[in-house]
Amino acid sequence: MSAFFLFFMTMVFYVIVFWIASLGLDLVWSRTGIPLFAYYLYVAVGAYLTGLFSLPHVPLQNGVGNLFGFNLPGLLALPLAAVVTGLFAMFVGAVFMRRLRTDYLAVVMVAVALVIWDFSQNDITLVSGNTGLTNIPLPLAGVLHININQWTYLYTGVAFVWALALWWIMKTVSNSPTGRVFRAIRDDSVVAATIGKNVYRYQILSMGIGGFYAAIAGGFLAQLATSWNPSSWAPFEVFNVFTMVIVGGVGSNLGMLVGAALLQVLFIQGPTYVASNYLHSPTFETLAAAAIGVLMWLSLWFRPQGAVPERLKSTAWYLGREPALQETINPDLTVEERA
Amino acid sequence: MPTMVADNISSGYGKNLIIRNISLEVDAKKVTTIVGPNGAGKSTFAKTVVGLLKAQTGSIVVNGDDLTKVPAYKIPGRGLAYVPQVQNVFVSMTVQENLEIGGFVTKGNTHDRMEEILATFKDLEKARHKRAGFLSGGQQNMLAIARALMVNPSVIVLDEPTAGLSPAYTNVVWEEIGRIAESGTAVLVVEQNVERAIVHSDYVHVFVAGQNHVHGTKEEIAQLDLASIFLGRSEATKS
Repeated sequence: MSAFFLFFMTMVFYVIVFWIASLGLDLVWSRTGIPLFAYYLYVAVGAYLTGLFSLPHVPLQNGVGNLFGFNLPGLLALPLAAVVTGLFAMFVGAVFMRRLRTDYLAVVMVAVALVIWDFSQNDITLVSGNTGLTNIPLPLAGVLHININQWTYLYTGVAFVWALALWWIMKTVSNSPTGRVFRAIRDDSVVAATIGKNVYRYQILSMGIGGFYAAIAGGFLAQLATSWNPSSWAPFEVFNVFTMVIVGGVGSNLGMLVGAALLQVLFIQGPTYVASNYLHSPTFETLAAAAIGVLMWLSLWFRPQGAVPERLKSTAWYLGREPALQETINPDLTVEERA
Repeated sequence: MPTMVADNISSGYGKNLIIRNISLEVDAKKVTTIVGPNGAGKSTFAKTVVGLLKAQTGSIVVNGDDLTKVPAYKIPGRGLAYVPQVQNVFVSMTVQENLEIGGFVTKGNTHDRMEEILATFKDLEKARHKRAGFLSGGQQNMLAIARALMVNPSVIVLDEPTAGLSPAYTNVVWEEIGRIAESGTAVLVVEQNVERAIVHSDYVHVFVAGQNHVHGTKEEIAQLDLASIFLGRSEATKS
Protein backbone atom coordinates (compact mmCIF):
# COMPACT_ATOMS: atom_id res chain seq x y z
CA MET A 1 0.00 0.00 0.00
CA SER A 2 1.33 3.41 -0.88
CA ALA A 3 1.92 6.24 1.54
CA PHE A 4 -0.78 8.20 -0.25
CA PHE A 5 -3.33 5.45 0.37
CA LEU A 6 -2.45 5.44 4.04
CA PHE A 7 -2.87 9.22 4.11
CA PHE A 8 -6.17 8.88 2.25
CA MET A 9 -7.54 6.33 4.71
CA THR A 10 -6.39 8.44 7.66
CA MET A 11 -8.21 11.39 6.13
CA VAL A 12 -11.35 9.29 5.72
CA PHE A 13 -10.98 8.31 9.38
CA TYR A 14 -10.87 12.00 10.38
CA VAL A 15 -13.88 12.79 8.20
CA ILE A 16 -15.87 10.03 9.91
CA VAL A 17 -14.76 11.08 13.39
CA PHE A 18 -15.64 14.72 12.82
CA TRP A 19 -18.96 13.72 11.28
CA ILE A 20 -19.75 12.13 14.64
CA ALA A 21 -18.51 15.24 16.48
CA SER A 22 -20.59 17.50 14.22
CA LEU A 23 -23.72 15.43 14.77
CA GLY A 24 -23.40 15.96 18.52
CA LEU A 25 -22.79 19.70 18.29
CA ASP A 26 -25.61 20.03 15.78
CA LEU A 27 -28.04 18.50 18.25
CA VAL A 28 -26.99 20.74 21.11
CA TRP A 29 -26.51 24.00 19.21
CA SER A 30 -28.60 23.87 16.04
CA ARG A 31 -31.50 21.80 17.28
CA THR A 32 -31.73 22.81 20.92
CA GLY A 33 -30.25 26.30 20.72
CA ILE A 34 -27.55 25.94 23.39
CA PRO A 35 -24.37 27.90 22.56
CA LEU A 36 -22.06 25.11 23.70
CA PHE A 37 -18.62 26.61 23.19
CA ALA A 38 -17.24 24.02 25.62
CA TYR A 39 -18.04 21.23 23.16
CA TYR A 40 -14.42 20.43 22.41
CA LEU A 41 -13.88 19.93 26.11
CA TYR A 42 -16.13 16.88 25.86
CA VAL A 43 -14.11 15.62 22.90
CA ALA A 44 -11.03 15.89 25.11
CA VAL A 45 -12.69 14.31 28.15
CA GLY A 46 -13.81 11.41 25.96
CA ALA A 47 -10.26 11.01 24.65
CA TYR A 48 -8.71 11.09 28.12
CA LEU A 49 -11.26 8.65 29.53
CA THR A 50 -10.88 6.24 26.60
CA GLY A 51 -7.14 6.28 27.28
CA LEU A 52 -7.53 5.85 31.01
CA PHE A 53 -10.05 3.03 30.68
CA SER A 54 -7.87 1.11 28.24
CA LEU A 55 -4.49 1.72 29.94
CA PRO A 56 -3.30 -0.01 33.10
CA HIS A 57 -2.87 2.08 36.21
CA VAL A 58 0.58 3.72 36.25
CA PRO A 59 1.56 5.15 39.65
CA LEU A 60 2.91 8.68 39.43
CA GLN A 61 6.69 8.71 39.11
CA ASN A 62 8.87 11.56 37.83
CA GLY A 63 5.80 13.48 36.75
CA VAL A 64 4.43 10.65 34.64
CA GLY A 65 1.53 8.43 35.56
CA ASN A 66 -2.23 8.28 35.64
CA LEU A 67 -4.56 8.35 38.59
CA PHE A 68 -6.36 5.22 37.53
CA GLY A 69 -6.45 2.75 34.67
CA PHE A 70 -8.81 -0.14 34.03
CA ASN A 71 -6.91 -1.97 31.30
CA LEU A 72 -10.18 -2.61 29.45
CA PRO A 73 -10.35 -3.63 25.80
CA GLY A 74 -10.35 -0.54 23.59
CA LEU A 75 -13.68 -1.42 21.99
CA LEU A 76 -15.28 -1.40 25.44
CA ALA A 77 -13.35 1.58 26.78
CA LEU A 78 -14.70 3.81 24.02
CA PRO A 79 -18.46 3.55 24.74
CA LEU A 80 -17.83 3.49 28.48
CA ALA A 81 -15.87 6.74 28.21
CA ALA A 82 -18.69 8.19 26.11
CA VAL A 83 -21.31 7.33 28.71
CA VAL A 84 -19.25 8.88 31.52
CA THR A 85 -18.57 11.99 29.40
CA GLY A 86 -22.27 12.26 28.64
CA LEU A 87 -23.02 12.22 32.35
CA PHE A 88 -20.29 14.82 32.92
CA ALA A 89 -21.82 17.01 30.21
CA MET A 90 -25.21 16.68 31.89
CA PHE A 91 -23.67 17.70 35.20
CA VAL A 92 -22.02 20.77 33.62
CA GLY A 93 -25.33 21.62 31.96
CA ALA A 94 -27.30 21.15 35.16
CA VAL A 95 -24.98 23.52 37.02
CA PHE A 96 -24.69 26.30 34.46
CA MET A 97 -28.01 26.20 32.65
CA ARG A 98 -30.03 26.61 35.81
CA ARG A 99 -29.46 30.35 35.84
CA LEU A 100 -27.69 31.23 32.59
CA ARG A 101 -29.03 31.77 29.10
CA THR A 102 -27.77 32.75 25.64
CA ASP A 103 -24.73 35.06 25.64
CA TYR A 104 -23.93 34.58 29.31
CA LEU A 105 -24.08 30.81 28.98
CA ALA A 106 -21.84 30.99 25.90
CA VAL A 107 -19.18 33.01 27.75
CA VAL A 108 -19.27 30.71 30.76
CA MET A 109 -18.95 27.66 28.52
CA VAL A 110 -15.79 29.13 26.94
CA ALA A 111 -14.45 29.82 30.44
CA VAL A 112 -15.19 26.27 31.62
CA ALA A 113 -13.31 24.79 28.64
CA LEU A 114 -10.34 27.12 29.15
CA VAL A 115 -10.13 26.42 32.88
CA ILE A 116 -10.12 22.66 32.36
CA TRP A 117 -7.63 22.92 29.49
CA ASP A 118 -5.34 24.94 31.74
CA PHE A 119 -5.85 22.42 34.52
CA SER A 120 -4.94 19.54 32.19
CA GLN A 121 -1.65 21.28 31.35
CA ASN A 122 -0.62 21.97 34.90
CA ASP A 123 -1.91 19.08 36.95
CA ILE A 124 0.41 16.06 36.81
CA THR A 125 -1.45 13.81 39.23
CA LEU A 126 -4.43 12.96 37.06
CA VAL A 127 -3.13 12.49 33.51
CA SER A 128 0.54 13.60 33.65
CA GLY A 129 0.03 17.25 32.69
CA ASN A 130 1.66 18.15 29.38
CA THR A 131 2.99 14.63 28.93
CA GLY A 132 -0.51 13.30 28.88
CA LEU A 133 -1.44 9.73 28.12
CA THR A 134 0.86 7.66 25.93
CA ASN A 135 0.81 4.15 24.47
CA ILE A 136 -2.97 4.00 24.35
CA PRO A 137 -3.57 0.49 22.96
CA LEU A 138 -4.83 0.00 19.43
CA PRO A 139 -8.06 -1.98 19.78
CA LEU A 140 -7.97 -5.37 18.05
CA ALA A 141 -4.38 -4.91 16.86
CA GLY A 142 -2.96 -7.43 19.34
CA VAL A 143 -5.72 -9.96 18.78
CA LEU A 144 -5.50 -9.84 14.99
CA HIS A 145 -1.70 -9.45 14.86
CA ILE A 146 -1.82 -6.59 12.38
CA ASN A 147 0.53 -3.65 11.93
CA ILE A 148 -0.48 -0.03 12.44
CA ASN A 149 -1.22 0.60 8.77
CA GLN A 150 -3.52 -2.41 8.54
CA TRP A 151 -5.05 -1.34 11.83
CA THR A 152 -5.79 2.13 10.41
CA TYR A 153 -7.71 0.59 7.51
CA LEU A 154 -9.59 -1.75 9.82
CA TYR A 155 -10.40 0.86 12.39
CA THR A 156 -11.64 3.28 9.72
CA GLY A 157 -14.23 0.62 9.01
CA VAL A 158 -15.05 0.29 12.70
CA ALA A 159 -15.42 4.06 12.97
CA PHE A 160 -17.69 4.04 9.91
CA VAL A 161 -19.97 1.44 11.50
CA TRP A 162 -20.10 3.54 14.67
CA ALA A 163 -20.87 6.65 12.62
CA LEU A 164 -23.69 4.94 10.74
CA ALA A 165 -25.21 3.74 14.01
CA LEU A 166 -24.90 7.20 15.60
CA TRP A 167 -26.33 8.82 12.46
CA TRP A 168 -29.35 6.49 12.61
CA ILE A 169 -29.82 7.21 16.32
CA MET A 170 -29.61 10.95 15.70
CA LYS A 171 -32.09 10.67 12.85
CA THR A 172 -34.48 8.75 15.08
CA VAL A 173 -34.08 11.22 17.94
CA SER A 174 -34.58 14.18 15.58
CA ASN A 175 -37.85 12.79 14.26
CA SER A 176 -39.17 11.71 17.66
CA PRO A 177 -41.39 13.79 19.94
CA THR A 178 -38.25 14.49 21.99
CA GLY A 179 -36.51 15.86 18.90
CA ARG A 180 -39.49 18.08 18.26
CA VAL A 181 -39.30 19.42 21.81
CA PHE A 182 -35.61 20.23 21.20
CA ARG A 183 -36.65 22.23 18.14
CA ALA A 184 -39.41 23.92 20.10
CA ILE A 185 -36.88 25.00 22.73
CA ARG A 186 -34.61 26.32 20.00
CA ASP A 187 -37.48 28.32 18.47
CA ASP A 188 -38.58 29.76 21.83
CA SER A 189 -37.81 28.27 25.21
CA VAL A 190 -40.45 30.34 27.05
CA VAL A 191 -43.22 29.22 24.71
CA ALA A 192 -41.97 25.64 25.06
CA ALA A 193 -42.36 25.95 28.84
CA THR A 194 -45.87 27.34 28.50
CA ILE A 195 -47.03 24.29 26.56
CA GLY A 196 -45.85 21.95 29.27
CA LYS A 197 -42.24 21.17 28.43
CA ASN A 198 -39.59 21.06 31.14
CA VAL A 199 -37.06 23.11 29.19
CA TYR A 200 -34.27 22.69 31.73
CA ARG A 201 -34.46 18.89 31.68
CA TYR A 202 -34.59 18.70 27.90
CA GLN A 203 -31.58 21.02 27.61
CA ILE A 204 -29.61 18.82 30.01
CA LEU A 205 -30.63 15.73 28.04
CA SER A 206 -29.44 17.40 24.85
CA MET A 207 -26.12 18.26 26.52
CA GLY A 208 -25.75 14.63 27.62
CA ILE A 209 -26.35 13.23 24.14
CA GLY A 210 -24.01 15.84 22.66
CA GLY A 211 -21.34 14.94 25.23
CA PHE A 212 -21.70 11.26 24.30
CA TYR A 213 -21.14 12.00 20.61
CA ALA A 214 -18.20 14.29 21.36
CA ALA A 215 -16.59 11.61 23.53
CA ILE A 216 -16.91 8.94 20.84
CA ALA A 217 -15.12 11.30 18.45
CA GLY A 218 -12.46 12.08 21.09
CA GLY A 219 -11.97 8.40 21.89
CA PHE A 220 -11.36 7.59 18.24
CA LEU A 221 -8.87 10.46 17.94
CA ALA A 222 -6.94 9.24 21.00
CA GLN A 223 -6.89 5.65 19.76
CA LEU A 224 -5.64 6.68 16.31
CA ALA A 225 -2.88 8.83 17.80
CA THR A 226 -2.18 6.30 20.61
CA SER A 227 -1.67 9.30 22.85
CA TRP A 228 -3.57 12.31 24.20
CA ASN A 229 -2.22 15.41 25.88
CA PRO A 230 -3.03 19.14 26.10
CA SER A 231 -1.31 19.80 22.76
CA SER A 232 -3.73 17.33 21.11
CA TRP A 233 -6.61 19.67 21.67
CA ALA A 234 -7.50 23.24 22.44
CA PRO A 235 -10.89 24.69 23.39
CA PHE A 236 -10.94 27.00 20.36
CA GLU A 237 -10.90 23.97 18.03
CA VAL A 238 -14.62 23.96 18.70
CA PHE A 239 -14.87 26.63 16.02
CA ASN A 240 -13.73 24.10 13.43
CA VAL A 241 -16.65 21.90 14.43
CA PHE A 242 -18.99 24.92 14.39
CA THR A 243 -17.78 25.63 10.84
CA MET A 244 -18.49 22.03 9.81
CA VAL A 245 -22.03 22.39 11.18
CA ILE A 246 -22.62 25.76 9.49
CA VAL A 247 -21.09 24.82 6.15
CA GLY A 248 -22.79 21.42 6.12
CA GLY A 249 -26.21 22.82 7.04
CA VAL A 250 -27.50 23.27 10.56
CA GLY A 251 -30.02 20.64 11.55
CA SER A 252 -29.04 18.31 8.71
CA ASN A 253 -27.51 14.95 9.67
CA LEU A 254 -26.12 14.33 6.19
CA GLY A 255 -24.99 17.95 6.01
CA MET A 256 -22.70 17.20 8.94
CA LEU A 257 -20.91 14.60 6.82
CA VAL A 258 -20.51 17.10 3.98
CA GLY A 259 -19.23 19.79 6.38
CA ALA A 260 -16.75 17.42 8.03
CA ALA A 261 -15.50 16.19 4.62
CA LEU A 262 -15.13 19.70 3.22
CA LEU A 263 -13.09 20.96 6.15
CA GLN A 264 -10.96 17.89 6.64
CA VAL A 265 -10.12 17.41 2.95
CA LEU A 266 -9.71 21.01 1.83
CA PHE A 267 -8.63 22.85 4.95
CA ILE A 268 -7.08 20.50 7.52
CA GLN A 269 -5.75 17.10 6.41
CA GLY A 270 -5.29 17.96 2.72
CA PRO A 271 -3.14 21.06 3.29
CA THR A 272 -1.12 19.17 5.93
CA TYR A 273 -0.30 16.47 3.38
CA VAL A 274 0.52 18.97 0.63
CA ALA A 275 2.64 21.10 2.97
CA SER A 276 4.68 18.21 4.29
CA ASN A 277 5.14 16.29 1.02
CA TYR A 278 5.37 18.96 -1.65
CA LEU A 279 5.70 22.51 -0.37
CA HIS A 280 7.75 21.76 2.73
CA SER A 281 6.35 24.91 4.25
CA PRO A 282 4.26 25.13 7.38
CA THR A 283 2.99 28.54 6.21
CA PHE A 284 0.64 26.91 3.69
CA GLU A 285 -0.83 24.72 6.42
CA THR A 286 -1.32 27.74 8.68
CA LEU A 287 -2.97 29.73 5.91
CA ALA A 288 -5.32 26.84 5.20
CA ALA A 289 -6.30 26.74 8.87
CA ALA A 290 -6.90 30.49 8.83
CA ALA A 291 -9.05 30.08 5.71
CA ILE A 292 -11.53 28.10 7.79
CA GLY A 293 -12.72 31.40 9.23
CA VAL A 294 -13.14 32.79 5.72
CA LEU A 295 -15.09 29.67 4.75
CA MET A 296 -17.46 30.17 7.67
CA TRP A 297 -17.96 33.82 6.70
CA LEU A 298 -18.59 33.00 3.03
CA SER A 299 -20.98 30.23 3.95
CA LEU A 300 -23.00 32.48 6.26
CA TRP A 301 -23.03 35.24 3.64
CA PHE A 302 -23.89 33.28 0.50
CA ARG A 303 -25.48 30.05 1.70
CA PRO A 304 -26.64 30.36 5.31
CA GLN A 305 -28.73 27.19 5.02
CA GLY A 306 -25.52 25.20 4.36
CA ALA A 307 -24.62 22.62 1.74
CA VAL A 308 -27.42 20.22 2.74
CA PRO A 309 -30.17 22.27 4.37
CA GLU A 310 -32.33 20.96 7.19
CA ARG A 311 -35.14 18.84 5.74
CA LEU A 312 -37.99 20.64 7.39
CA LYS A 313 -38.99 22.48 4.28
CA SER A 314 -40.55 21.24 1.09
CA THR A 315 -38.51 20.99 -2.09
CA ALA A 316 -40.56 23.84 -3.51
CA TRP A 317 -39.41 26.03 -0.67
CA TYR A 318 -35.78 25.48 -1.62
CA LEU A 319 -36.60 26.51 -5.15
CA GLY A 320 -38.27 29.65 -3.86
CA ARG A 321 -41.60 28.80 -5.43
CA GLU A 322 -43.69 28.67 -2.31
CA PRO A 323 -45.15 32.10 -1.54
CA ALA A 324 -45.81 33.24 1.99
CA LEU A 325 -49.32 32.18 2.89
CA GLN A 326 -51.80 34.92 2.27
CA GLU A 327 -54.50 35.73 4.78
CA THR A 328 -57.41 33.68 3.54
CA ILE A 329 -59.91 35.12 5.96
CA ASN A 330 -62.43 37.61 4.75
CA PRO A 331 -62.65 39.79 7.84
CA ASP A 332 -66.00 41.18 6.78
CA LEU A 333 -67.64 37.82 7.37
CA THR A 334 -68.65 36.48 10.76
CA VAL A 335 -67.22 33.25 12.15
CA GLU A 336 -70.39 31.37 11.22
CA GLU A 337 -70.35 32.71 7.67
CA ARG A 338 -66.70 31.78 7.23
CA ALA A 339 -67.27 28.30 8.62
CA MET B 1 -67.93 28.73 41.76
CA PRO B 2 -65.35 30.56 39.59
CA THR B 3 -63.08 28.37 37.46
CA MET B 4 -59.99 30.35 38.41
CA VAL B 5 -59.41 32.41 41.53
CA ALA B 6 -56.31 34.59 41.87
CA ASP B 7 -56.19 35.91 45.38
CA ASN B 8 -53.97 38.72 46.66
CA ILE B 9 -51.22 38.21 44.06
CA SER B 10 -48.01 40.25 44.34
CA SER B 11 -45.18 39.59 41.95
CA GLY B 12 -42.35 41.13 39.96
CA TYR B 13 -38.74 40.73 38.96
CA GLY B 14 -36.37 40.06 41.83
CA LYS B 15 -37.19 42.29 44.74
CA ASN B 16 -39.03 44.81 42.56
CA LEU B 17 -42.73 44.22 42.83
CA ILE B 18 -44.60 45.12 39.65
CA ILE B 19 -48.08 44.07 40.78
CA ARG B 20 -49.43 44.28 44.30
CA ASN B 21 -52.28 42.47 46.03
CA ILE B 22 -54.28 41.70 42.92
CA SER B 23 -57.35 39.51 43.20
CA LEU B 24 -59.66 38.44 40.41
CA GLU B 25 -61.87 35.60 39.35
CA VAL B 26 -62.50 34.06 35.96
CA ASP B 27 -65.69 32.16 35.23
CA ALA B 28 -66.43 29.43 32.74
CA LYS B 29 -68.14 30.53 29.52
CA LYS B 30 -67.11 34.14 30.21
CA VAL B 31 -64.49 36.42 28.72
CA THR B 32 -62.72 38.37 31.45
CA THR B 33 -60.37 41.09 30.27
CA ILE B 34 -57.59 43.05 31.91
CA VAL B 35 -56.99 46.50 30.46
CA GLY B 36 -54.67 49.26 31.53
CA PRO B 37 -51.93 51.57 30.38
CA ASN B 38 -48.41 50.42 29.50
CA GLY B 39 -46.53 49.32 32.58
CA ALA B 40 -49.68 48.63 34.58
CA GLY B 41 -48.57 45.05 35.21
CA LYS B 42 -51.07 43.25 32.97
CA SER B 43 -48.57 40.89 31.34
CA THR B 44 -46.70 40.45 34.63
CA PHE B 45 -49.95 39.26 36.19
CA ALA B 46 -50.57 36.85 33.28
CA LYS B 47 -47.04 35.46 33.57
CA THR B 48 -47.48 35.02 37.31
CA VAL B 49 -50.75 33.18 36.90
CA VAL B 50 -49.14 30.65 34.54
CA GLY B 51 -46.04 30.16 36.67
CA LEU B 52 -43.47 31.99 34.54
CA LEU B 53 -43.00 34.41 37.43
CA LYS B 54 -43.18 33.47 41.08
CA ALA B 55 -46.07 34.88 43.09
CA GLN B 56 -44.52 36.46 46.18
CA THR B 57 -47.87 36.58 47.94
CA GLY B 58 -51.28 35.10 47.35
CA SER B 59 -52.61 32.04 45.59
CA ILE B 60 -53.85 30.86 42.20
CA VAL B 61 -56.51 28.16 42.25
CA VAL B 62 -58.02 26.50 39.19
CA ASN B 63 -61.00 24.18 39.70
CA GLY B 64 -60.07 23.93 43.38
CA ASP B 65 -56.49 22.92 42.51
CA ASP B 66 -53.85 25.22 44.04
CA LEU B 67 -51.32 26.03 41.28
CA THR B 68 -49.40 28.75 43.12
CA LYS B 69 -46.17 26.81 43.49
CA VAL B 70 -46.54 24.53 40.50
CA PRO B 71 -43.72 25.01 37.94
CA ALA B 72 -44.73 26.56 34.60
CA TYR B 73 -44.23 23.39 32.59
CA LYS B 74 -46.74 21.47 34.73
CA ILE B 75 -49.44 24.15 34.55
CA PRO B 76 -50.94 23.23 31.12
CA GLY B 77 -51.50 19.68 32.32
CA ARG B 78 -53.45 21.09 35.27
CA GLY B 79 -56.01 22.86 33.11
CA LEU B 80 -54.50 26.31 32.62
CA ALA B 81 -53.21 27.23 29.15
CA TYR B 82 -51.31 30.36 28.18
CA VAL B 83 -50.68 32.13 24.90
CA PRO B 84 -47.78 34.60 25.06
CA GLN B 85 -47.95 38.01 23.44
CA VAL B 86 -45.57 37.71 20.49
CA GLN B 87 -43.34 35.02 18.97
CA ASN B 88 -45.85 32.54 20.25
CA VAL B 89 -45.48 29.75 17.69
CA PHE B 90 -42.64 27.44 16.73
CA VAL B 91 -41.71 28.90 13.38
CA SER B 92 -39.69 25.95 12.13
CA MET B 93 -42.61 23.56 12.60
CA THR B 94 -45.70 23.11 10.50
CA VAL B 95 -49.14 24.05 11.78
CA GLN B 96 -49.83 20.38 12.46
CA GLU B 97 -46.56 19.89 14.33
CA ASN B 98 -47.30 22.96 16.46
CA LEU B 99 -50.66 21.49 17.40
CA GLU B 100 -49.27 18.04 18.08
CA ILE B 101 -46.53 19.30 20.36
CA GLY B 102 -49.14 21.32 22.23
CA GLY B 103 -51.05 18.14 22.97
CA PHE B 104 -48.16 15.95 24.11
CA VAL B 105 -48.75 16.75 27.79
CA THR B 106 -52.16 15.10 27.80
CA LYS B 107 -52.79 11.37 27.80
CA GLY B 108 -55.75 11.48 25.44
CA ASN B 109 -55.71 10.97 21.70
CA THR B 110 -53.74 13.93 20.35
CA HIS B 111 -54.74 13.22 16.76
CA ASP B 112 -58.48 13.30 17.43
CA ARG B 113 -58.18 16.48 19.45
CA MET B 114 -56.13 18.10 16.69
CA GLU B 115 -58.73 17.21 14.05
CA GLU B 116 -61.43 18.59 16.32
CA ILE B 117 -59.55 21.88 16.64
CA LEU B 118 -58.68 22.09 12.95
CA ALA B 119 -62.37 21.60 12.17
CA THR B 120 -63.00 24.75 14.22
CA PHE B 121 -60.08 26.79 12.91
CA LYS B 122 -60.79 26.46 9.20
CA ASP B 123 -57.92 28.72 8.16
CA LEU B 124 -55.42 26.57 10.00
CA GLU B 125 -56.87 23.46 8.41
CA LYS B 126 -56.06 24.90 4.99
CA ALA B 127 -52.50 25.60 6.12
CA ARG B 128 -51.88 22.50 8.24
CA HIS B 129 -48.72 21.51 6.34
CA LYS B 130 -47.30 25.02 6.08
CA ARG B 131 -44.51 26.07 8.36
CA ALA B 132 -45.75 28.43 11.05
CA GLY B 133 -43.08 30.93 10.04
CA PHE B 134 -44.93 31.42 6.75
CA LEU B 135 -48.22 32.39 8.39
CA SER B 136 -49.33 35.97 8.80
CA GLY B 137 -49.20 37.55 12.25
CA GLY B 138 -52.93 36.99 12.76
CA GLN B 139 -52.74 33.38 11.68
CA GLN B 140 -49.79 32.81 13.99
CA ASN B 141 -51.85 34.14 16.88
CA MET B 142 -54.73 31.86 15.87
CA LEU B 143 -52.32 28.94 15.77
CA ALA B 144 -50.98 29.80 19.23
CA ILE B 145 -54.53 29.89 20.57
CA ALA B 146 -55.41 26.62 18.84
CA ARG B 147 -52.26 24.99 20.24
CA ALA B 148 -53.18 26.10 23.75
CA LEU B 149 -56.61 24.51 23.29
CA MET B 150 -54.99 21.13 22.52
CA VAL B 151 -54.88 20.35 26.25
CA ASN B 152 -58.59 21.12 26.54
CA PRO B 153 -57.97 23.67 29.30
CA SER B 154 -60.46 24.92 31.85
CA VAL B 155 -58.89 28.37 31.64
CA ILE B 156 -57.00 29.99 28.79
CA VAL B 157 -54.93 33.13 29.36
CA LEU B 158 -54.29 35.23 26.25
CA ASP B 159 -51.68 37.97 26.46
CA GLU B 160 -52.58 40.65 23.91
CA PRO B 161 -53.81 38.27 21.22
CA THR B 162 -54.53 41.15 18.84
CA ALA B 163 -51.21 42.99 19.23
CA GLY B 164 -49.94 44.20 15.87
CA LEU B 165 -52.96 42.99 13.90
CA SER B 166 -55.05 44.95 11.44
CA PRO B 167 -58.40 46.20 12.79
CA ALA B 168 -60.24 43.75 10.55
CA TYR B 169 -58.24 40.76 11.75
CA THR B 170 -58.59 41.96 15.34
CA ASN B 171 -62.33 41.39 15.02
CA VAL B 172 -61.72 37.90 13.69
CA VAL B 173 -59.55 37.02 16.69
CA TRP B 174 -62.10 38.43 19.14
CA GLU B 175 -64.86 36.40 17.49
CA GLU B 176 -62.77 33.26 17.96
CA ILE B 177 -62.21 34.20 21.60
CA GLY B 178 -65.97 34.52 22.03
CA ARG B 179 -66.46 31.07 20.55
CA ILE B 180 -63.89 29.56 22.89
CA ALA B 181 -65.78 31.00 25.87
CA GLU B 182 -69.09 29.73 24.50
CA SER B 183 -67.61 26.24 24.34
CA GLY B 184 -67.28 26.30 28.13
CA THR B 185 -63.71 27.54 28.68
CA ALA B 186 -62.98 30.39 31.05
CA VAL B 187 -61.06 33.04 29.10
CA LEU B 188 -58.76 35.68 30.57
CA VAL B 189 -57.50 38.24 28.06
CA VAL B 190 -54.86 40.92 28.54
CA GLU B 191 -55.70 43.72 26.12
CA GLN B 192 -54.42 47.19 25.25
CA ASN B 193 -57.40 48.26 23.18
CA VAL B 194 -59.97 49.29 25.78
CA GLU B 195 -62.86 49.87 23.39
CA ARG B 196 -62.63 46.43 21.83
CA ALA B 197 -62.15 44.82 25.23
CA ILE B 198 -65.33 46.39 26.50
CA VAL B 199 -67.29 45.35 23.43
CA HIS B 200 -66.19 41.71 23.52
CA SER B 201 -65.81 41.00 27.25
CA ASP B 202 -68.22 39.97 29.95
CA TYR B 203 -66.16 41.35 32.81
CA VAL B 204 -63.36 43.92 32.80
CA HIS B 205 -60.53 44.65 35.24
CA VAL B 206 -58.65 47.93 34.95
CA PHE B 207 -55.05 47.72 36.13
CA VAL B 208 -53.21 50.93 36.96
CA ALA B 209 -49.70 51.10 38.43
CA GLY B 210 -49.63 47.43 39.39
CA GLN B 211 -52.99 47.37 41.11
CA ASN B 212 -56.47 46.22 40.20
CA HIS B 213 -57.84 49.76 40.23
CA VAL B 214 -61.44 49.06 39.31
CA HIS B 215 -63.45 46.18 37.91
CA GLY B 216 -66.97 45.45 36.82
CA THR B 217 -69.20 44.24 34.04
CA LYS B 218 -68.56 45.73 30.65
CA GLU B 219 -71.61 47.95 31.07
CA GLU B 220 -70.29 49.28 34.39
CA ILE B 221 -66.79 49.88 33.03
CA ALA B 222 -68.19 51.59 29.95
CA GLN B 223 -69.62 54.26 32.28
CA LEU B 224 -66.18 55.17 33.57
CA ASP B 225 -63.76 57.80 32.29
CA LEU B 226 -60.95 55.33 31.65
CA ALA B 227 -58.63 57.99 30.26
CA SER B 228 -58.68 59.72 33.63
CA ILE B 229 -58.19 56.46 35.45
CA PHE B 230 -55.23 55.57 33.22
CA LEU B 231 -53.71 58.95 34.06
CA GLY B 232 -54.15 58.27 37.75
CA ARG B 233 -56.96 60.73 38.43
CA SER B 234 -59.51 59.78 41.01
CA GLU B 235 -62.55 61.02 39.03
CA ALA B 236 -63.68 57.84 37.43
CA THR B 237 -67.15 58.50 36.07
CA LYS B 238 -67.71 60.04 32.66
CA SER B 239 -69.11 63.54 32.96
